[in-house]
Formats: sequence, structure tokens, C-alpha cells
Amino acid sequence: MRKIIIAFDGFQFPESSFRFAAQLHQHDPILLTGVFLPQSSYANLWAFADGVGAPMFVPHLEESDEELVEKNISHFEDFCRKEGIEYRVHKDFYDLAMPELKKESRFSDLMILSAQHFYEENGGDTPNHYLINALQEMECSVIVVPDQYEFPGVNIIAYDGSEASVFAIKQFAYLLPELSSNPTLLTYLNPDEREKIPFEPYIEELASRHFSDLTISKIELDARKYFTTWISEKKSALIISGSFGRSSFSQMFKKSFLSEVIRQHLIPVFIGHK
Amino acid sequence: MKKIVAAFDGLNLSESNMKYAIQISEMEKCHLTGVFLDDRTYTSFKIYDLVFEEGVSEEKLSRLKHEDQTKRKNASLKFEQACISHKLNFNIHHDKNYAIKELIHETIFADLLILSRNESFSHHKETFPSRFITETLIDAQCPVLMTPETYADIEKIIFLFDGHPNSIYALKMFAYLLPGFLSLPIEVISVKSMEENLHLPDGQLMKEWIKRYFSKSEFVVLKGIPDVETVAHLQKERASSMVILGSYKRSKLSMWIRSSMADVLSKNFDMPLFIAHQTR
Repeated sequence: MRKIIIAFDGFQFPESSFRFAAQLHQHDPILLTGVFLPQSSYANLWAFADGVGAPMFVPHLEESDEELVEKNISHFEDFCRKEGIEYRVHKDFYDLAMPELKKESRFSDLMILSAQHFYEENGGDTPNHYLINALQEMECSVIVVPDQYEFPGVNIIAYDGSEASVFAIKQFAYLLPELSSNPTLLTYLNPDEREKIPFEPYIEELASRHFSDLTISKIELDARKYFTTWISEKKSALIISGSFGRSSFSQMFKKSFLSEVIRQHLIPVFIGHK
Repeated sequence: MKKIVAAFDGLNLSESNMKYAIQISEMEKCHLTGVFLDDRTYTSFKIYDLVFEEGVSEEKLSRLKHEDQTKRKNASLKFEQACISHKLNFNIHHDKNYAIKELIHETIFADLLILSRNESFSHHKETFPSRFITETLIDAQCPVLMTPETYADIEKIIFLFDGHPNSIYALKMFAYLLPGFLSLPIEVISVKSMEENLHLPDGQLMKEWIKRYFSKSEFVVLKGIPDVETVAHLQKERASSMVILGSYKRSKLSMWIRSSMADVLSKNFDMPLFIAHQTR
């Protein structure tokens, strides 16, 4: 039985994340933990993680905010009861800082984040600073779900020969075995036709153990320019990708095709995380 | 289906490592890859053996080389036969470059590495842990099951929990990779300093997770110095227990100053150790 967490700000109610969790529950029962974080502290949540030396002021919740949060919690509980999902509510209200969410992820198998709602009030580019930070800091694998999606019937693995991309393949197979039997396309994107798929015999040996219907192919596309067009034709797909190194994460991420896929709210993205 | 890699030294085949690899692959219905590290720079003879009064004997060198080749071939044949008799899905890799580099590369494309704790890939006698074992544990890209000299069926799981993210990571990987062992009882051991209270670190979250996977769990909190208390507590345990622990990816210098818990346990006990760490 897997333990899945959904983190959200208490104002927004990310229906798509819940729908995704409920669909996973139909295959194998889950424990769903709602981590409720108040909106007003979001900015501080991430600021704490930056290690700013000076003590910071954490604004308390307004009373009306608290009512809204309570309302959402009861919505969450109703939803879980209706779907027959075992659930827990963790209110990390006043001790709110990045380490809290990080700690929750440490003791979870999977986190589902909403591409649109996780950070909406804070504005900025999509995926914005908050989501990028969350993807970077969490200690379990993350699925980013757009508002409109079809439950995945096809997997697309973005393989680049790196340790991180192979790690993501393994994590996906452990955590979502029900999706591993779907048709799976392992792609190596490189516009240079002289480049071969890195370590092909090795990745074939590993991936074909986990994915029963596997195709391995090299796609000679410029990932950044055309990948999203290509992917937008693949309805009901899910992308499996490794995370980027911690040091260069945000720059690398912004430049990658993944950022585009999330920005355009195309399809769910699974990011394997250590 | 998962892919387990079992690493062997063809010149000194570890029977117990082979047995652990085969039993686990059979139980978990895994694909088993036997990796024979036929490192060209490693031979069973020493250079000194070749020297005699008139210099170095070419004839003796080729004879010894041939003997090594036969030994390696026989070892992989033995593995092959054992896999066939257990009806396993398996294959064999012969890696001829530097053993440590080849093995680390294999671990990227493996779910679990099974390795005897006595491997050293050196004809010099090394005290435990050998340089080979230390480097493998630091750089491995998948969890490692380090097996003892004698085989015993696993009947109990012991998890050493220090509150560090690495130890939770190791436990998660164990649960994902070896679900066949989840029905066994698990004992969670935490050691805290004398000033701290006797609560389990992150107790509520820890229990919430562990109950999803293990049906029988027991929690023990001890006080004192972790290395000492853990060894004392584990004295009563037998070789049929498997220990799970997260290990640090530490700098060479700190490894030098203080041995890790994995080393301490291996020196004192004959239990298989399941070790994983986050590599980022």
C-alpha cells in the first residue's frame, strides 16, 4: 500500500490531483495524506529554505483564511470518504517552512502536485519559482498533473543516458506498477544523427524487465523546439523524467522541454526523485 | 520484473553470495544478471611468482594465465548451472576492465546489487572493508545487499533508524525492491544521545509509513553512542536477520577518521546488510 501526499495551499482545491489519486486508488489502495499549508505563508515557506540568516516574521493566518482552510479540509475529507480512500490530514500551519514539506515527502512514496494551483496566487512564470523549488527539494518522486488530463494509457520515458534518468525509470516501476504494463516508449532525443542511444544494451536489459510493452527509439528532434508539439499529439500519455542536479537545477529545468510541457499544461509528468 | 545484479570474482567464487542471489531472485521473481569482473589487471598470481633466477618465465606466465582463464570459465559455468536448475531468468556479463568502474556502471542499470562483503579483487590480503567494498558502497547507483560468508534463510528484518533522510530512503528502497520480505517482523532501532528523550525521531510520520508496508513492527529506542549501543543490542540476533541501513556518501577523509556503521556491523556480525544512500 502506497502513501501519497497532496500538498496545497488551503485556498485552492486542486481537483485534478485528487482525481489522479483516486484513479491510482482503484488499482491498489492508497493512504492519502493532505498536507495543508496556508497561502499567506507561502512566500516564507520557500524563503526559509534559502537559509537567510536573519529571523523572519511569519504572518499569522487571518481568521477568514482559517475558515476557508477548514472548509477545504472538510472538502478533502468528504472526497476521501466518497472514494473510500484511507486519509490523514496534516496541518503544518504555524511551524511552516520548507523543511516541513520536505519532511512530509521523506515519509511518503509519492507526491502529487497541481501544475496550475500549487502556486497560483503568487503569480510569476509557469512553472514558477515555487514549483521548481518543490521539484528540487522533495525527497520522494513527484507527479505534476495539469487540470485537464486523461488518465495515462501510454508512458514516454525521456532517457538521456544519465544516472538520474535511469533512476526515474526504476522509481516509476516500483511506485506505479499498474502503469508499467501500458505501451511504453523510451526515447532518446538528439538532433544529431551520428549520436547513438547511450548504453543501449544496458538500458534495454533493464527497461524491458519493468515494461512489458516497450519500444526504444531515438528521435532526431530538437527537444526544446519540437518536443511539445510532438507530445501534444500524444493524448493520455505520461512523461517519465529524471530530476536535474541540485546545483544547476533551476537553470537546467527552465531550459528543458519538461518546463514547456508543464507550462502548457499538456500531460502529467513523473519526476523520479531521491 | 526487477533486475538484480550479482557480482562475482571468477577467481574466488563466493558460494554464499551466489546462494543469496539465487534465493532472492527466485523468491521475488527477478531477472538475475551475473556480473563476472574479469579485471585484466587482476590475476590470482603475483608478479613475484614469475621471477626466477634467469629472469621472468614467459612459459610460466602463459600457463598461469591459462589457469586463471579456466578458473573464471568454471566459475561462470557453475553460476549458469545453478540458475538453470532454479529455472531463473538470467544472463551473464563478463566485464574485462577495471573491476570497480565496471561494477559502478552496472549498478546504474540495476535495481539491486548483491555482493559478498569479502570481495577485494586483489591478491593481497586486505582487512575488512577492502578498498573495493568501500568504493562500491560510496559510489553504487542502486541499493547494495552485502552478504556474509555463510548463507542463512532470512527470518527477521532489523532497521537502523537514525532520523537521517538516508535511512528512510534505504527502508523505502527495501520495501519497493523486496516485497517478499514484508511479511517478516521488523524491528526499528534508534539510538539517541543521553540528553534526548526516548521518543522515536519523527515517530508519527515514521509509523504512518511503516504500517503501509510491514504487518508486524516493533520500535526500540536506545540511549548512548550509536555504534556501541547498536552492537550491544544486536548481540542476541542471529545470522537469519537482515539489517537495513542508510549509509552516508562521505568524503574520503571522514571515512578515514571514523568507520561507518556498515563497517562496524560487518566486523561484528554475520548478517546480510541492505545498504542504500541518496547519491545527489
